[in-house]
This record gives sequence, C-alpha cells and structure tokens, in this order.
Amino acid sequence: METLLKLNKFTISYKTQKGTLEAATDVSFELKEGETLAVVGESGCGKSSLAKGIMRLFPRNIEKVLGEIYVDGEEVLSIKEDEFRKKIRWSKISMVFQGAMNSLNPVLKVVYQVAEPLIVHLNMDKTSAYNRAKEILNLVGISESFAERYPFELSGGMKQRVIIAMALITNPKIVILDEPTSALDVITQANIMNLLKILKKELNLSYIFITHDIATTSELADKIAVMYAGELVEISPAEIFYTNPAHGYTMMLLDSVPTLKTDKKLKSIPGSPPSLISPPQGCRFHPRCQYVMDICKEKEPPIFQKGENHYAKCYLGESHE
Amino acid sequence: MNNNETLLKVEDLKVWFEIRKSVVSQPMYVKAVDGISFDLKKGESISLVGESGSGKTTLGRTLLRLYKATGGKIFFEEQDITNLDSTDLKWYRKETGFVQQDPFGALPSHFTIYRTLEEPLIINKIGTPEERKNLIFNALEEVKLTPVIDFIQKYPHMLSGGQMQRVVIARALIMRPKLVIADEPVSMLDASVRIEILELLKELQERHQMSLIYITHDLATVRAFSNWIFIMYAGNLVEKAQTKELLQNPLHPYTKALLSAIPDPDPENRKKLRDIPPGEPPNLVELPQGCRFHPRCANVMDICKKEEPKDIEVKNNHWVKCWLFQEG
Amino acid sequence: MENIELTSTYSLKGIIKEIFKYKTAKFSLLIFILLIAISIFAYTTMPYDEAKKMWNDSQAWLKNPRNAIPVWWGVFTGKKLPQNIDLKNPEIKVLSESPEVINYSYNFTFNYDDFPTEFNIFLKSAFKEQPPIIKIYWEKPNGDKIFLTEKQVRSENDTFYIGNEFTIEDKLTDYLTSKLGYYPSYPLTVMRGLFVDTSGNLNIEKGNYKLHLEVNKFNKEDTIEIEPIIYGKVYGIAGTDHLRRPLELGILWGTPVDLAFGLGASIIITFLYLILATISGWYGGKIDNIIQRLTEIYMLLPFLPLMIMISLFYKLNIWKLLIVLILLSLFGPGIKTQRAMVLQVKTLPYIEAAKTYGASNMRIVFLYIIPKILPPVIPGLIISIPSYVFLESTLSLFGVLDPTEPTLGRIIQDAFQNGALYKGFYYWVIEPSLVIVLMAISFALLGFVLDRIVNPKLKEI
Repeated sequence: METLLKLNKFTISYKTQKGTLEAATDVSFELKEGETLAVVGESGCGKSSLAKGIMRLFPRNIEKVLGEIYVDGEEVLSIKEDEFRKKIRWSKISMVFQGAMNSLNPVLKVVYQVAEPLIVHLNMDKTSAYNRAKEILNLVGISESFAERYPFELSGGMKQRVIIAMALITNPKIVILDEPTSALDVITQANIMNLLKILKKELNLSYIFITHDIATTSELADKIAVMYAGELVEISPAEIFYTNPAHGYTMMLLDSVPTLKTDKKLKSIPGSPPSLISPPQGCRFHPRCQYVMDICKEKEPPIFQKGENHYAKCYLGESHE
Repeated sequence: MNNNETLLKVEDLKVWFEIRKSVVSQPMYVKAVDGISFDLKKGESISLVGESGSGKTTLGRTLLRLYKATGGKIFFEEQDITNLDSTDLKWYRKETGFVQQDPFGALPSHFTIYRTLEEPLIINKIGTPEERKNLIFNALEEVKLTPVIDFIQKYPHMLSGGQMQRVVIARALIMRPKLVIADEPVSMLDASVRIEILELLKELQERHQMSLIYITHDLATVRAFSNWIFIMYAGNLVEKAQTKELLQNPLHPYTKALLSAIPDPDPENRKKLRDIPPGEPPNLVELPQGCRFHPRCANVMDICKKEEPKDIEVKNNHWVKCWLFQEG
Repeated sequence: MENIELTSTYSLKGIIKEIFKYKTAKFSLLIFILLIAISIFAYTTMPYDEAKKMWNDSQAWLKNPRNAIPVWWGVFTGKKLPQNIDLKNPEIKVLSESPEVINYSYNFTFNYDDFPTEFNIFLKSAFKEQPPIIKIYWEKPNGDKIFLTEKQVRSENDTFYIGNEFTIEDKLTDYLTSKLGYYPSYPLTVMRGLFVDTSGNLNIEKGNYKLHLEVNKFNKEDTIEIEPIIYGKVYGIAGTDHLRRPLELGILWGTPVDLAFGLGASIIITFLYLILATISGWYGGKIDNIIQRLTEIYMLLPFLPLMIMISLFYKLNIWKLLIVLILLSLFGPGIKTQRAMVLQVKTLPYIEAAKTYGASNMRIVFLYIIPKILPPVIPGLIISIPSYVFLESTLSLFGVLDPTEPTLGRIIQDAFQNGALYKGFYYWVIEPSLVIVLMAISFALLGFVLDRIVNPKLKEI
C-alpha cells in the first residue's frame, strides 16, 4: 500500500495580540491508501488548525509555516497557490468542515451546491455537473426529490450527507472530516458513521477523522493520533490504542470518558490546557499529568517508539539518562 | 434514606405550541409534550434521555413553569401548579433549581460571581447581607471552587467552562431547592471535565436529598448517575425503568436502537455496520398515526400503524409504551 | 469551550486599556480632556449667570479694541500689529496753584508697523460747580509738540473719542502739510495723523511718544481719574468681536454650555431609548406594538423645521431647547436598533435562569438586559454628541435662540450678522467653528474607537 500523505514536522504559528501562537508544532504522520487516521484532542489542542493547514487554508494572521507535506510523493507546501488549488485542494484532498451543515447557502438548491465545484473548478457544463451531483447525492442517501430542495427543508442528518457529497464530488483520495457528527443525535450519528464506512469501501477512500469523542474513533479509525497543546503526543494502531495507551494524557483521557458497556472507575483531568503562546517547559502536559516525573518538567520528551507503529512523546516506561 | 413521599406528580401532561402559516390559515400545533405521566419521589433522580426534537427540553422547562402546559396536570408536593400565574408561583421558584446547558450564556457577563449568586437570595428576600455572604461562600465551597476569595470577584469570562458550570450549579442549589432540573449540563464541556461535574451534581443531590431530573441525549453518562431512566421519543415517554434494569433489559425497540447506536471504544467496530433503525425522529407537527416510532421500527405490526399504545407495567417498576408487550 | 482567557472588555479597566492601543483614541481623549479642563476652569472662575450678565454688559468691554484679531494671527501678516496701549503712570506736574492746573504726561514707545484703531480717553471726575477743562497736546518722537484740542468734561463719567474729532483731524492735517510742504496724498484720519511720519508715504514714525493732558480745575477739591487708551489691532489669544468682547472669554464660556448641552441631550435621549427599547422588546405584544408604531410616526416627523417653528413661537433658551429636543426625539430610530439587540439578549440562557429563581420582569429589564446592551450603545451615544452641538449652533444661526446667551453658535451668528467674512474678520468665524469641529472630531473618534472595541462583542450577545 502506497503512502498517500506524509507530514514531516509540520508547524503553524499565528500572530496574535499577545504574541506568537503555535497552533501545531512538529506534527509528523503518514497516511496510507485506504487507511483512516483519527486525530483526537480536546478544544484548543490545534486539531482544526492542523486539518485546515493540510489544505493550506490559513487565517489572515498566519506568521510561519514550517515543515513539509508530501501528497503522492510530491511536496506541496512549497508549490504555488494556484498549483495547489488545481492539483491538490478538492481534487486529491477534500474536507468536511466542522459545522458545515449550518453554512449551506440557504438560497441555493442542494443539487446546485454539490455541482458547483464541477462547474467552477473543472469547467463542466451544467447538465453533466447536475447529473454527477445527483449520482453522488444518491450514493450518500439523498434521493432525487430531496436533491431539488433547499437546505432548510432538510434535517440535520440529511444536511450532513449533502456536505459529504460535496466533499466527494471531485473523486478525492483523501477526505478530512472535522467533527462530522458532533452536532447530530446519537442515532443519526451512527447512520452517518455507517455511511462513511460504506463509502470508504466503495470508493477506496482514506480518511483523516478529527474528533473530541474517543469512543466514535473506533467506528472508523485504523490509526489514532492524540493531539495536545499543538503537538502530536501519541500515535497508535486501533487494536492497541484503547487498551495500551502509552502517553500520560491518553491514559488519563481514556479514564475520563464514560462508556455504556465497560465498567471502570472514571477520573477527570484536573486543570486546563496550556496557553499556546507560552506553553510549559518540558512536556506540555506535565502540570496536569498524574504520572509526572522530574524529567518531564525539565526536558521536552522526544518521540519514543513504544511498539510496532506505536509512537509516543512520553518518558513513561522509558529508561532515561 | 429515601423518603417515600412523592414530590412531583405529572399526569397526562401536554405542551403544544401553536403555529400559523398565515393569519387566516388553520392553526397547527407542535406537540412537543404529548401525554406524559410519571411520579418522582423525594431524593430520587431521573435521567430523561431523548434525541433533539423529542420534547425533553420542553418538558424540563414546563416542569419549571417557564412554559405553561396546554393540558394535563403537574402536582408539586400535592399542590396543583399547572395553571398558577407568576405571582402565585413565587414559592415554587424557591423550591426549584435549573442547571442549563450552556455555561457561557447561563451567567450574566456583567455580574461578578458573588453578585450572580446573590441574586436569587436578594429576589427572594433570604437573609441579611451578612447571612447571604455565608450562604454564598458555602455554596462555592460545595462546588469546590476554592479558594472562594479568588472567585467571588471574578467575571464569568475569566473562568473555564467547567468552572462556570460549577457556578451555575451553585446558583441552582443556593436556595436548597427540593427539585433540580439539569438540562444537558455537561454537553458543552470538554470530555475530560464532564465526569467530575456529573459526580459533583450527584454528590450534592445525595447530600441535600434533592430530587433531580437529568436531561440528556448521551446515554453513556447516565449509568452511574441516576435511579431511573426515562426514554423520550417524539413527545412521549416510551420506556421507564430503573437504571440497571433498563440497561440490562431494554424493551422498547427505540431504546434498543439507542443502546446499540452508542459505540464503546472497540477496534472491531470499524469492520462492521451498526444495526440501527433508518430515518429520523418525526416532525412534531405532523406526527405519524398510531405509534410514533412505527415508521422506523423493525418489529412493526398492523396495530402499531393505527392506534397509539398505552403504558404497560411489564415488570415491577418497568413500564413500556409498545404493542409488543400488550396482551391480546 | 475555549479555555483561553479573553481580554476582559466587560470591565471599565479593560475597555480603557483597549482604548489606549489606538492612536486616534489617544488624540481624541486629549482633546476631550482639554475641553473638560476648559469647562471646569470656566465654571470655577466664573459661574454661568455672572458670565452671562457680563457677556451682555457692553460697559464691561469698553477698554478693548473692536474687532481685533488675535495676537498670534498678527504675526502672519508680516507686520508687527499694534496692541492695546493702556496709558498709565503719568508724570504729574502741578503747573499752577490757583486756578489749579495739573499736567499729566504719559510716555510710551510705539514700534509697531501699523496704525492703532482708536484713541479714547476715559474720565471719571468729581466736581463742585464746573467740570474741568482739558487741553490735549501730542508730542511726536521728533520732538514736535502739537496742540490737539481743548475740551470740557461733560459729566462725571465721560469719554473723549479722540479718534473721531474732526478738529483734531484738521490740526493734524495742518501739521503734516506744513512738514511736507504739500497736502498728503493719502487720506488722513486722526489715528494716521498721530502716528504717521513725515516721509510723504503712509509710514509709521516709530519712537517715543508723549501725551500731555493739561487739566484746568475750577475747584481745588475737584478730582479726576484719567485713563487714555490707544486701541490696537490685536488683542488676546482670540481677538474681539464687534462689541469689543474678547472671543477667548466667549469661547471659554460657550464651550461648557455646548458641551453640557451635547452631553445632556445625548445621554438623556440614549437612556430614554434604552428603557423604551428594552420594555418594547421584553414585553412584546401590545406594548411592543404601541411603542414601535409611535416610533415610526416620530421618525416621519421633520425634525429641524419643527424645532424652528417651535422656537419661533416660544422664546427658547438653551435649556428649554434641551427639553424640546428630548421631547421631539423621544421615539427615535435608536429604539429600533436597540430593540433588535434586546430581542437577541432575550434568548440568552441567563435570562431564562433568572426567571427560574423568581426575577420579576422589571428586574430583568433593568438589571439583566440593559447592562448587557449598554456597551454597544455607548459608541453611538458618543458619536451623537457632536450632532446635538451642531444642532444648537444651527438653530443659533437661524436666529431662533436666546441672543443673550454666550454659546459657540451665538458667536458664529454674531459674526455672520456683522459681515465677518465680508469684512475679513475670518478669525471671528473660524475660532468658534474650530472648537465645535474639534469637539465633534474628538467625540466621533472616541466613539469609533469604542465601537471597534465593543463591536466584536456584539457578536457574542
């Protein structure tokens, strides 16, 4: 299986009134064809910034972008914006944004909104674009009659399907999903997850699935990456992630989330995430970590390999000098 | 421990909202709460579980008398409060507390924490300023916002989400109400903070022997929390049972669907599809005839499409509203 | 769900800290402080009623030149313009004992490049039978002593208007003709004659001048106080108007009045809007309907023509004007915008919470809603202050306000009525206008800055 996407020490920093804010620091990971990577973290950890950064969607106050991103072997951070837009954005990689279902254009019919990238981006004629749009909408479970309606006539779940259709219309290889189900009800969520599972198989998609809900990661993810304070602190295969976490934060996170079936003693994580303008010295999580050791407070931990395809930035379980 | 006295008794409660497409057309009704009955004893807690559009929020607010019921009755300590107007409800305000979903919006941004907590006391003329100070300090200590001195002069936006929600809880409890209604109190908080807020609520509820109605859509959080679980769907209570019983023996098809829709972190999940009913909850204006869940139900029978099922006590303290369990 | 601490722009300290980040705000705050300082100074040095009386007392200003330009402006003309010369400390010589004749000699240096405007001698005398007779001599720097005139004091408080005396003009013409050998080519006035040189051109003879007043008293006990004043062309920081009143005082007294008017109107009207908008938005239903319809009717009324009409029928001073203004603005467009904010705030969770712990409607209106919508309303309040000040000036200009009140608008009106621009007295118009414009700029800038700070918060409502 070839590597579709590779991030190497990807760093994003913004200029703010209070100083330079590093939303993502030295993030590195690989995504193979047909694989799903889940990125888990709480609010403010930088996962949305990371997602948009991969699409080269930076805010106005962007200061520095460091590192490399390789798509199909080609480095894409250094190419021109025009080239990126033509070759990568929405052709190889597309995105389902957080809360997108609420930003559908209320005065345009759903089928037009799905067809728009084809008309504008690929210069298709209206009829073929509409047909293709209806095809995709059908694939995501929106029948033809609903395709001809306006967004306000659709329910939450249906709107999210429309957004997914919009992301699939240009046959991308990678789809980034930023909290695709957090605004939906439990049963609707499960339905959407089912849809994503089916699409993954039928269209051979690779997903980057961003969420704060650890339990739903198990629905899609082959690999799970944990983000804290802008850093990727652990990345691990799904088989061992839930039972053998290696990073202090991952461990405490898994212990704080209630589940229906498994019985365990729950404990919340004290304190709050640090400022990304002046993060703590040493390990960024050490002020809140129940397993903290002296070295954690002084030296930032390097990336240790904890097992096959399992990496964590944590001194736990390591013999250190 | 628990007094067997009934605190709240709800009989066939209906809350309908009128909507008109135009001035001259026929009125239509959003039947948010359509025939709900239950009892709540002193010191007990109920988790009211339902999806959005189920009417659970409306039910909560009607019990607080923020809305007026369209039909049915509400009895609080044997007193009929269904139709009392605001002047006659003053005493009721002291007996109830409300914990809301959005901590950011639930606290007035221009009041300090101290002032926010003092408001209910001032309005209800409780205590002298000195006594109020003691009550407020106690309240903040109870919700573990210590040292108290640090917090009283702060404004809401200086606190984290979890801290704000603690203040909301403190405010809801400061008059030692007998009934507390918590509407999605943790859904806007970070995952790692939720459990401690819920545990705090539970601890305070047990300590002060308050009755609690915990409204949520997240079944995973109700396990260690309440005595009872009520499942709400499209304005009806479709199943009522004690917590352990419901989780072990769900009866209503919707309850089963809810339970199976919630993932546990199991890496095998990604390899199979979940077995869940298709479709979405019905529009509360145009409810299906008969059982409201029938269009999505895998076990639908003919009678389900024509007549609404009644509440049946299938086992001791386990009620279901489903034709599958009716005799005959 | 963010745990990032936001700048606390809900506290006054926070807002002030934010304000100082903007340069325009520092500038406007400076002007604002200046205006307040002027107002406090004016109020403490002279209370308003006294100031008004003094402004209208023409006798108080007799010693000032008429329509003098400001001293610093004079610099721009390139010429050194004459200031007022108030002659004092005469050399007193008793010329004879009986009848008593006393000579008052005044000495002064005149080095200016332009002629003075007037020459008056103020006399205060006490006499038994006949008032004294005064002989006036003028000694030029070249030593020539010219006899100007002999006049008898006419009353206890008398003034000799030297500049207007034709006899003196004749005398000076004779003198000059004799010096030149021919009749001077330029028209000769008294003031010119007194100070011109003997070159034949209109040049000033600079140097030491002496004024001799020979006072012939009829009785020994008669007393006389003399104050000769040679009026200059410049006076003070702001010049003078047609009634010799120093404009710096007019502006000094007028500024606080206008400021108070603008502030008062703005604050009262904004608060009325706040209360009405909140009641309208909160209660809804019939009350909302009534207030909104009233607002719409009010908004249709032509404001300025109505004000002018009212002021034509009723004598309005500035405070009655304020009341009329408030009544006519009672239901204004502000109500609509603020009601929109109220409707938004109404849906916030904390309002609901307040109901559950028993807050009454009025309490919610005043303690929960109004403080929340106040910050976005304040910039509008500040920006509207200049428009009320302009309103007052406009009405003054139309001549419909009380002419005895010293306000900035009044000064401008005096200027126009006396053809200031036609006569070239630009300072008379520019100075009060500048103050009004400065006021407007400073308030507007402050308002805009506040708007930028407070407005993002509007989205959080």
